[in-house]
Amino acid sequence: MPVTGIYWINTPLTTPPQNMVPLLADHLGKRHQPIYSGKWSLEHRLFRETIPSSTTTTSASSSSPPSNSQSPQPHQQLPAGGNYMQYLSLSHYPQKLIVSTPSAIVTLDCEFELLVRLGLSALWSPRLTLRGEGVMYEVDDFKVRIANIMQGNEMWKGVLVEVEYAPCSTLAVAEGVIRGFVEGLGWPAGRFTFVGKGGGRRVEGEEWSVLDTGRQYCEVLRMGWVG
Amino acid sequence: MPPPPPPPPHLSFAQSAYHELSLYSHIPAARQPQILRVISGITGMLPETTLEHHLVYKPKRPRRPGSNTELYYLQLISIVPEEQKQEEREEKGGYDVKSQKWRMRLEDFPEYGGKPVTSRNVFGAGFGEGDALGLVDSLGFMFAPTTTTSSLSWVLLFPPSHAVPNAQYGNPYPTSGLQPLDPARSWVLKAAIRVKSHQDLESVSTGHNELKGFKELMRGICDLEVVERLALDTRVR
Repeated sequence: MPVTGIYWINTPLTTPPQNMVPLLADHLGKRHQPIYSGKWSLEHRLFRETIPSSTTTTSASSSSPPSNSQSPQPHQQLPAGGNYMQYLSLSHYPQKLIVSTPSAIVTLDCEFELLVRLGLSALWSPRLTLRGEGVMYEVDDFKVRIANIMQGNEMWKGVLVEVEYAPCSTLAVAEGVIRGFVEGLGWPAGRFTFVGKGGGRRVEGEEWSVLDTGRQYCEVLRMGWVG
Repeated sequence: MPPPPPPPPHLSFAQSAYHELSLYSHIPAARQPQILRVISGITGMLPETTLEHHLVYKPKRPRRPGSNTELYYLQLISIVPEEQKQEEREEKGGYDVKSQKWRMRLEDFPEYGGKPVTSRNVFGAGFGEGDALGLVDSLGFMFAPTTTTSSLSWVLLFPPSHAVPNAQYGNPYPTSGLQPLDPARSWVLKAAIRVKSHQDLESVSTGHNELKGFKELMRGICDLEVVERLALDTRVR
């Protein structure tokens, strides 16, 4: 599978958030001949392990009040050592969820969502849902997916860009190529993610898989929550 | 990458989330061939043998006192071919539990209240890539080797394991080494109908009638009954 890299822009902007996707697309068009290839979307949910009342003392340092509420609490910080689970659905990876915890990452049928909601609610409670919608372009050997990431309808969290480099399936070679491509576009300053933390560990030198792409997304979108 | 072919629709493996209506009967070993012939006659299908490997997991921490949400056992299920693949047999250790194609399943506690059939929700999802056992561990579940729940006609137990990696999960090969849980080798007949949701009252009612019809057809051959609800309790106490 082709290697991907994620470029994340959430610095204070002079451009209103709703104009960000057209702005980035415009930059792309000034330097290349991109071919518009449709819309894309993503949905990301973050869960926190419910903490049994008998062990709340271990998280006493956290300012978060114990809560049985199922509603997302956007500004709550992840308590130290708190366990989390994320799942991600990507329109370019249909019918599957990418499910990530600090130590493991898998792909699962999307019915896992129902299993969590109705069968694991004593263990996991939803904390945050982020949605992304945007546009895709093909530029030579690259596929560029740009999307605004929103919490609810109102809160803009950042712009996420996935750059896929088709000719190559090892990170060592592709990372430099993707960095060079993005840096040449004159986009606003952002942060690259190539090796996502969490979801276990990527085996060095191994051929790229959807799990590696999933780790990137999960790291960036988890940061979007904490940061 | 091409998606894997879907499993055959009649296997318990196939569907993901559904509401299951069922009736059960205990079949003594000697009656099994006759029952199979009768069911073949009714359905117009030949019996198929399926061997499933079930891993039962239980939450690592106990239920919160006073909590109104339940904790449930979780299962990983994999269909195991009757015969081991040549290359697996040749490798040291043979059966690799980590490389099986697993499916997660969570069965709800059957519904309460004088129903004509056993009625429960079942949730499932098939794993694609990645470490299924690792994920279940990080979701807060531990492998519970002493607990056996199964919808198998026969529950087979693994022979004592040898000192190989992941031996605690059991190795189904050679299948001749598996021992029936019941020394009398009796069978459980489960007749089940799946409907999309318990809220779909029309389908539930049709399901009830079909099961009732099947029960009538089998009358005199075996008694299909509602199972004591607590016997199918999947909640962790």
